[in-house]
Amino acid sequence: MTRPTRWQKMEETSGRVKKLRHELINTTPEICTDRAILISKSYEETLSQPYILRRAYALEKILLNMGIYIHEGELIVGNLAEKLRGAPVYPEYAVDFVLNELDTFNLREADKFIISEKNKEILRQILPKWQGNTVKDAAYQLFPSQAKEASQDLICILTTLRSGVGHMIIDYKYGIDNGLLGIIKEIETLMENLDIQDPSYATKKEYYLAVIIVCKAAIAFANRFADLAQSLADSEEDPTRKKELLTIAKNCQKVPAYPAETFWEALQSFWFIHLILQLESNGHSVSPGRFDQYIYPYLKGPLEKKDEDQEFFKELIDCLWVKFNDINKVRDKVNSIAFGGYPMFQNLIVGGQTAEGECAVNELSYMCLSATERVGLPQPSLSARWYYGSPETFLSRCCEVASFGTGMPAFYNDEILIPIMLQQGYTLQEARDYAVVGCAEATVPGVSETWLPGGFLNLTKMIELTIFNGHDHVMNKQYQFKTGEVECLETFEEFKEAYFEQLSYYLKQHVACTNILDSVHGSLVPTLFESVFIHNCLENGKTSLQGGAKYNFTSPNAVSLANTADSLAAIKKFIYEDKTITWAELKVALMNNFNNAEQLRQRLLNLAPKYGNDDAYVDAIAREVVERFSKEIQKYSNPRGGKYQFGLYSISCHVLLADKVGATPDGRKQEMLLADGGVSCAQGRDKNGVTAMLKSVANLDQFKSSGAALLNVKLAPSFLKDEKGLSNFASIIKSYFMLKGQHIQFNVVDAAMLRDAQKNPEKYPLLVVRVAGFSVLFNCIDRMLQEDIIMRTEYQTL
Amino acid sequence: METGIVYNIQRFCNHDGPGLRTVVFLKGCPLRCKWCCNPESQSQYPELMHNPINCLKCGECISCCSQKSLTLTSTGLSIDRQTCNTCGICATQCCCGALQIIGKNYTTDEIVSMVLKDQEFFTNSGGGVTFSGGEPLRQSSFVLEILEKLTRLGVHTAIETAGAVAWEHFERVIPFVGVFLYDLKHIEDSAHREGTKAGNKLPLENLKKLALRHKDIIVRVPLIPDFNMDEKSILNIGLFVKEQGLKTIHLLPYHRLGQNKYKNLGKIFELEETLPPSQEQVDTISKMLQTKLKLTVIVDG
Repeated sequence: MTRPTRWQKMEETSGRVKKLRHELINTTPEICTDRAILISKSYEETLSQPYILRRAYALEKILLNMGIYIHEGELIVGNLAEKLRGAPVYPEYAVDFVLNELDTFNLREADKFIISEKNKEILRQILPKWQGNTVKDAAYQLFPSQAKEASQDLICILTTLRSGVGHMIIDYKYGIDNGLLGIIKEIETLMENLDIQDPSYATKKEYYLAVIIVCKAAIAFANRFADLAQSLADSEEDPTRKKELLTIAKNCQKVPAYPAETFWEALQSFWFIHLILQLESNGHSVSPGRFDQYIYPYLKGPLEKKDEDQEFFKELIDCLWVKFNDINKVRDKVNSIAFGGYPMFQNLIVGGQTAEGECAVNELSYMCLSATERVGLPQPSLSARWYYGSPETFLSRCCEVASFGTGMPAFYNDEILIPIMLQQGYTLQEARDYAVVGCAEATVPGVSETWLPGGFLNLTKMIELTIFNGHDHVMNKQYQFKTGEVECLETFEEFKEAYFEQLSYYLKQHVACTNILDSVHGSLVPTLFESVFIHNCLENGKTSLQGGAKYNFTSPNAVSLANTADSLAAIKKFIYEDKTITWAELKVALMNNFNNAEQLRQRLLNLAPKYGNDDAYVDAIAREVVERFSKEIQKYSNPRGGKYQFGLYSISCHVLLADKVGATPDGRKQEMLLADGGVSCAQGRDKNGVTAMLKSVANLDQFKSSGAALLNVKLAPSFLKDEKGLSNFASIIKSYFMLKGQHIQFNVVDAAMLRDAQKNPEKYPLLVVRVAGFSVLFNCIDRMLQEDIIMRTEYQTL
Repeated sequence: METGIVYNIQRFCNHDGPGLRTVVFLKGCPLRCKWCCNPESQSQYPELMHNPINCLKCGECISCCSQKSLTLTSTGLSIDRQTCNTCGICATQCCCGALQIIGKNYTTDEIVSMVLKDQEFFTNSGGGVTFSGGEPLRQSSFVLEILEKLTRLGVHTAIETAGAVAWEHFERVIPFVGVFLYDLKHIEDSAHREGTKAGNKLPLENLKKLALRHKDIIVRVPLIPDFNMDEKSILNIGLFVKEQGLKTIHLLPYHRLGQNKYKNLGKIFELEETLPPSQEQVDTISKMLQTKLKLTVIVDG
């Protein structure tokens, strides 16, 4: 029997949701100015105030004055910008790129933004005043010169230079269950009980005053929507809609000020909190976390009462799912390539275990899966947790949803992630309560400042710098750090050590910059609203960005492990073992991008072992790179008193970084992409099927990369055309997890359809595909990234 | 320890038995089916295959050939198969993988350890190993030894056979085989001979005997235009299957994916002009077997 297509599934949502979805995807994102105007005004008014209060007044001003709307048919209300899918401007982080790109945002091939002439004029007036006073400026002043050079040349990428930190999962339950008024009371008590002898009395008191201001502003923000809904209701003629608007007004009066009582109120309260976090800072990856756990209590009762309208509950979830896609962010040109497709990484995870170690799957877990299937949009980034005790029906439902090709849910393995969390120092209960931020980064909600956007290091670039002794032949530039002429490295061990020295050197530079950014974010742009929901911040009297959280980490990422392992394997085999290629020969070929050396390239490509084929020769090398990187990173600490960890994932940095690396010894030409994902093999090099590829990947010690180990797999839709394929699909995931994989996600799309979508984008307005730890609308990403997705090995049925 | 000649070991197979499987393809076949999509499986000796799509025409292979069997012509590399002794040196020198020696001897332990690489996947999917060919039962001593070892380790086993071997080869492997995938091409001897260059007395007799001895047999019928797709031929096959008390038929529609391999091996593909059956034709046959004979039919299996 043929299974329905994703398009048929998407027809199952209600007319209202279809309309909201249609409006959303047919809107070209626009740059909006309300926030920039308001924050500029506020900063001028509060010049003499302590910084922490300036932040509070700024957010207050934004929440009380920004343009708000309620669209026709909306059930969950609250907007980020004055236009649908609009992106506000956050001048406190950086203004250089906004000013430089004002006239080109609308010309971008991907991640395009329109901006009206009027708004351009406004920004040209207000933004220059920020110059010299942004996070970027403050950090640049402090960067050591070599570290700055490495980041400017993209050997390492800093992701929080022009943007907020984001990457959080706050304790939503605390906010929804208690209401902000209750929380304000708690803060007042803390303030009253402050010990006058406490040396940090002043900073703590300022902090409490500041968080009270933002909490009150959040309530006022919701009340503005209540007023708007009321006035819309007054003039509404359709009695059904009128009733809805009156309920919306009632909801917004009540939440998030008071504890939510109904399911609808809980969703609305969630949305306001989630939204304000993103008005406070533009750091992406603000992740809902274990939504099916903290929202379920509001749904359980009503679901048991058969008289309640079950279909309406579904519709509410669908409306919220559409809303997630309204959140947008404008990035600079470089970052728009590294983060292709307007991704916001709002990771929402279902299933797994409760803090007590029992199965956490409930009706809402399934309802979330169905919502993603029906709504079919890229956000929220849906994830699912699996453990030995997970019900088969849950895994099989997850597989069914994933088989429709949106790349969701992504799958996470409790059996390795819980031990990782324990090793990080979390308690058992906390560890079991882990959730995922952004792409694939596990952390414990509500207690951590994990500083997951710790940037990216290009592992393969260091191979090049080792071979050419610190000389970058692509940019024709000599770097100061040298590891010796490669011809003098007599054994592969010596070469490898030289490589690790390069790696350590650039890691050190990267950490220096990241720690500077960490301090600058803490002092210039502390996130007050966030800190209310991260435990120990209130007790400690400081925000999470200043070290108030219970747990603190920093987590940079390594990009293109596969090209690195493949290059090292080729060097080991041809230069040191077989001695059939000389360094001189290889260097010339690499410098000339293999022009006139196709035969040599083919040998490197075909006759050396490649990661992803269950071949111990190269898999051991990949494992060693991960181990050495892990050992190296453990040396470092951050300004918040936490340790460094690292992750293996690339977002779409492998596209951005590709042409920054010349031809590589694995047979890759300069114009070819670097490997996608984090632990995925290089595109098309896995020749022995999924199982062999998974064995290679699972051979890495994924305990070491506690920040993430992201694996992309592309399956041909024909593989999943029947029940047998679906059941084999589930067994692939289970087997990989038993082999100790952390994470796995699938693109189930055929190359022919993607090619057709490139030619006829209008035929596929709703084609969602997985890039890395996130899904996007295929039409929204640039050509290179589209090619990348098409090129990844598609596993056919054999 | 037994050794055998194998030309491919394919992991992650979704077909050819339950669950996820590793298929071991053995070289050598008594039949010469016109439609065969694995022409490299037919000879029981190693063969040199050249894939011109990958070839860089660098000539490296020519200089290392002691038999002087290779020449570069305007249309690409040409192999004199009369003088080539399939020593395989050229293939080891080929940088782009265009030249390959098809068929290599393995010990049973080597095969066992390669199959076991996917044990976790077998356990979770209920899959295992499938021996295919060629005709795997032509190397029954080799296959038997592997089957014994894998069965002991709890791996599910399957054999895909065309049945054209002496019964004794079946007899010895039966206790160690989870499922037989039994190819049946035609019930009429003359037609069978025309399509496969061999009569069908042996396959039919063996299937009769096997059905009495083994409960898990799936009959697989290649659907070949102008050979067995007419109603009479199909129903005769179906009836024969039913008479043996068997319930399941897999239909494998003819395809031309193996076409290039003929050229690459210096062989001729006789069905160049034959088009694969349409979805409609396949559905009609499938429906006919289901309604008239109450058989379970799976297309592609």
